[in-house]
Amino acid sequence: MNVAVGLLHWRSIIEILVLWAAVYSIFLFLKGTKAAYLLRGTFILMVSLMIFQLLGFPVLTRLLAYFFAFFLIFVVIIFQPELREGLIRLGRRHFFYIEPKKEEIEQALKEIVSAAAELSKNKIGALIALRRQMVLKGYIESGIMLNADLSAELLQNIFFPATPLHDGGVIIEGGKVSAASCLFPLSENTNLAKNLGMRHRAALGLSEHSDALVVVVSEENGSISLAINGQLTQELKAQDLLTILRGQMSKNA
Amino acid sequence: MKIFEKINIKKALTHNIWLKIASLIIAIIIWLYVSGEISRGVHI
Repeated sequence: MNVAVGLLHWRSIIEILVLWAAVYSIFLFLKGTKAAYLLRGTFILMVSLMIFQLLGFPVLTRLLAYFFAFFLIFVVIIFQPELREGLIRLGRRHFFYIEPKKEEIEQALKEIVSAAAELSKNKIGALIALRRQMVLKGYIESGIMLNADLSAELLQNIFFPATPLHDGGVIIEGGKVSAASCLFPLSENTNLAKNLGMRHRAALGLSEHSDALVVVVSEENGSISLAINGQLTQELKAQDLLTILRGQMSKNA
Repeated sequence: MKIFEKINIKKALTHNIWLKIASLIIAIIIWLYVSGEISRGVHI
C-alpha cells in the first residue's frame, strides 16, 4: 500500500523516468549486438533473485546474489570493448529525432542510387554511408572533410580509381557529402562469406557500430550490396536499392 | 526556435515503441523492488 502511494509521488515519478531513460539507453546499446544475449541472462538472474526473495528462500537468494555479483564483474571484463563502444554510442545518439527534409532525402537517395548504378556498370568499387540518427563524427574526422553538395557525378568522381579520395568510404548527411576517404570499422563477424572483401567488411562494420545505411559496390563483379544493422543484402538492382533505402529512411523518419 | 519546429514528438514517442514500453515496465519493476526493500529497512 505504502509503495502504491509512493508510486504516485512526484519524486517517485522522476525516479522512474530516470530509470526508464537508463534502461532504454542500455537496450538501445545492446540492440542487435551479441551482448543482447547477455541481457537476457542478466534479466533471468534478476527476476529469479526477486522471486526467491519475495517467496522467502534465504539460502537461494544469498547464493544467487553472490553469483550475480561475480557475474557482473565477468560481464565487465569480457564485454569491455562492447561496453566502451556502447558508452561512446550513447553519447552520440539524439534522444529526440529531428526530422530532415523529405525532398532533400529523396534527392540524395536518387543521387546515391544513380552513382551506385553507374559505378556498378563500370565495376568501380565504392563505399557510401548514409547517416540516419546517429552522429558519425568520429568516422568523418578519419577522412577528408568535403561538405559538398551531393551529386551522382561527385560520387563517381570520388571513387574513380587512382584519385586521391577513392580509398575508404564516403559519408553523406542530408544532402551533403560530409567527408570522403573515411575509415570504417571492420566487421568481426566470423560467419561472413570468404569472398567478401575489406570493403564489404567495412560496410558491415559501420552498420554494426551505427544505424547508418551503407551501400557497397564491388569492384570485382560490380554487384551492389546494402548493409543495415549488421546485415548485408547482396546483388541488388538499382531500383531495389532505391526502394529499400526509401523504406529505411521513411521508417527512420 | 526552428529546432523545436523540427522535433516531431509523435515520431519521437512511437519510434522503437516496444523497446520503450519494455524498458518502462522494467524501470517500474526495479523501482518497486528497491523502494519495497527500502521501506522494509533492508540495506541493498
